[in-house]
Amino acid sequence: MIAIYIIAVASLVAINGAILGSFMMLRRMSMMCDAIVHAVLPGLVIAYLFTASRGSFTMVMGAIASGVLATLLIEWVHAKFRVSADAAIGLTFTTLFSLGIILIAKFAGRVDLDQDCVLFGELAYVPLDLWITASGMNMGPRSLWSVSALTVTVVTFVGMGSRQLVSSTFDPDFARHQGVLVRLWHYLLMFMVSLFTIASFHAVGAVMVMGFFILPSATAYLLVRSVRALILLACLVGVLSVLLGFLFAQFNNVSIAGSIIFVNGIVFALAAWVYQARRPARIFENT
Amino acid sequence: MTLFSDPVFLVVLIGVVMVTVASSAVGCLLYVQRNALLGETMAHGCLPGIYAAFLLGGTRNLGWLALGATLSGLVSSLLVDAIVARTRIHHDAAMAIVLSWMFGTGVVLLSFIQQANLSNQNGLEDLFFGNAAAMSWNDVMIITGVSAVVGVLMGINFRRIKIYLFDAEYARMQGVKITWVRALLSSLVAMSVAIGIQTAGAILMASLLVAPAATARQWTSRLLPMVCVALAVGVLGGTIGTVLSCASPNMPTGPWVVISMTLLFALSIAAQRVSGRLKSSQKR
Repeated sequence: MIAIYIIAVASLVAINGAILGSFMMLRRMSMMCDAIVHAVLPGLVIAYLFTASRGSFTMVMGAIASGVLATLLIEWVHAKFRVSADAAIGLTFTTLFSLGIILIAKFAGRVDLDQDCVLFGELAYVPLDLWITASGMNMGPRSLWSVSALTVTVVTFVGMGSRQLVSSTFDPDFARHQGVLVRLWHYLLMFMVSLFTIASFHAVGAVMVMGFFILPSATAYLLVRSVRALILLACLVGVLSVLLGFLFAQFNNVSIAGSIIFVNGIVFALAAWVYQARRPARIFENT
Repeated sequence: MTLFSDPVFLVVLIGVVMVTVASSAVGCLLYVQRNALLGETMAHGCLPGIYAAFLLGGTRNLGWLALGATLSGLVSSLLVDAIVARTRIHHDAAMAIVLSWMFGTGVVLLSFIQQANLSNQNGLEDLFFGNAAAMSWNDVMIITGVSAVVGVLMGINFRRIKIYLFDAEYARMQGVKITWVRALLSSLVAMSVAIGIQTAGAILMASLLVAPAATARQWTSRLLPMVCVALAVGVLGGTIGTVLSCASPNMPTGPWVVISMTLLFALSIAAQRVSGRLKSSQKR
C-alpha cells in the first residue's frame, strides 16, 4: 500500500508537470519554470510565519503570489532597465530564493520547513502524513488529496482553455485578432505553474519539480508533432519514468524523486537517439 | 572593527572575494553572449561530479572535489550543445533539461553516499546553499589558485574571446579557432563555478555570475571597462555579504552575498537615474 501511495502521488505530479511543461516548452519559457519553482519559496515562508501551519490556504496563496510576482518582476526588470531577459531571470529568482533561505535560517525555530525538505522533498514520507478526519476516518495521505485536486484543476484549465492556450502559444498576433486575451492567458499559465509548484513541493522538493516539468514534455516533443499527442505522450513518459524510477530507487535504496528524474533523463536520451535515427539524412550540411 | 581582526573571518573573506573575482569576470563574458543562465545550468551540473569525486577519492579535499565539479560542469555544457545541435529542442529547454537531470542525478548520488554511511561525509549537503564559514586556509589557497588560472587564461585570450563574442564570423576570418575559444569559455565558467559552489551553493551560484555583470552593463558598453566594474561590484558585494552572514549566527553565506549583490544592482540603477536626471537638467 505504501508503494502504491508513493507511485500514485508521483504519477499525478508527473502528469500535471507534463501538461503544464508542454505549454511552457512550446512557449520557450522553460527557464521561466526554473525561476518560478525557486521563487515560490519566500512567499511560502512568509505565509507560514503568519499562519504557523503547513498546507493552509494562506500558504498556498502566499506561494502563488510570490511565483506570479517573480514573473512580473522579471518582465519589469527586462523592460525597464538595460538587462537582457536571461539575466533578468537569473537576477530575480536567485534574490527571491535567497530571501526565502534567509527567512528559514532566521526563524529556524518557528518554521517547520527545513532546507532538506525544500531540496529533496519527502516522497518516501508521503504515506506517513495521513489525513484523519474529525470523526477519526482515515482518508489516506494528505499529498494524494492535494495533487489529485491539482490534477482536476490542471485538466479543467487546459481542457477549457485549449483553444486560447494553443493559439496564443503559436501565434500571439493571430490569437489577439481572434479576441483571445493573450496577456491574461499568459498570467493564468504562470498562476498554474506556481500552483503546481506549491502543490508538488512537499512531495518532490522545489528544485526537482523542474525535472517533472521539462523532462517528460521534452521527451515527447522529440517524437510527435501535434499538441494533443505531445501532451498525451508526455503524460505517458512521465508515468513510465515514475514506475521505473521507483523501482530503481527501491533497488539501490536511494532518493525516489532523484531516481525518477535520473531515469527520465535516460528515457530522454533514448528518445533523442530515436529522433536521430528517424530523421532523414541532411542534404544541406550547414557548418 | 573586531570582525576584521578575527583570523577565521579573514580566511572566509579572502575565500569569498577570490570566488567573486573569478565569477564576476567570467560572468561578463556570459552576459554579453546573452547566455547568463548557462552559469545556472553548470552550477547544478557540478553536483554529480562533486559527489562522484567524493565517492571515488573518499576525500573532502576541495581541490579534488573542484576537479570533479569542473569536469561535470563541462559535461553539462557539452550536453546542452549536443541537444541543441542534434534535436529540435531550443537552447533554453536544453539548459532546463540538463540542469534538472544533473541535479536529480546529484541527489541520487548524495542519497547513496548518505545511506552508505561513509566516513567524513559531513558537510556535503552544504554544497546546495553554500557554507563559507567551513572554509579552511587550504581551501582558500586552492580557490585563489584556480581564480588566478581563470584570470590568466582570460587575460591571455581576451582579444580572441572578445572578437568571438561580438562577431563569430569575423573571428573566424581573423584566424581564431572557434571550437577552441568555445571550449575555453566553457572551461572558464566551469572553473569559476566549481570554486564557488562551497561559497554560494549550487542553487545561487548563477547570481554571482549575473549580478555583477548586469550592474556593470548599466554603466558601460565596452567589454574591458565592464569587466573592471563587475570586478569591483563583485568584490564589494562579496565583502558586504560575508560581513552580514558572519554577523548573525547559523546563516548560510550564499544567500547574503546574493542579496548584497542585488542591492548593489538596485543602487546602481538608482544612482544612474539620478545622475541622468542631473545631466539633463544641466543641459537645460
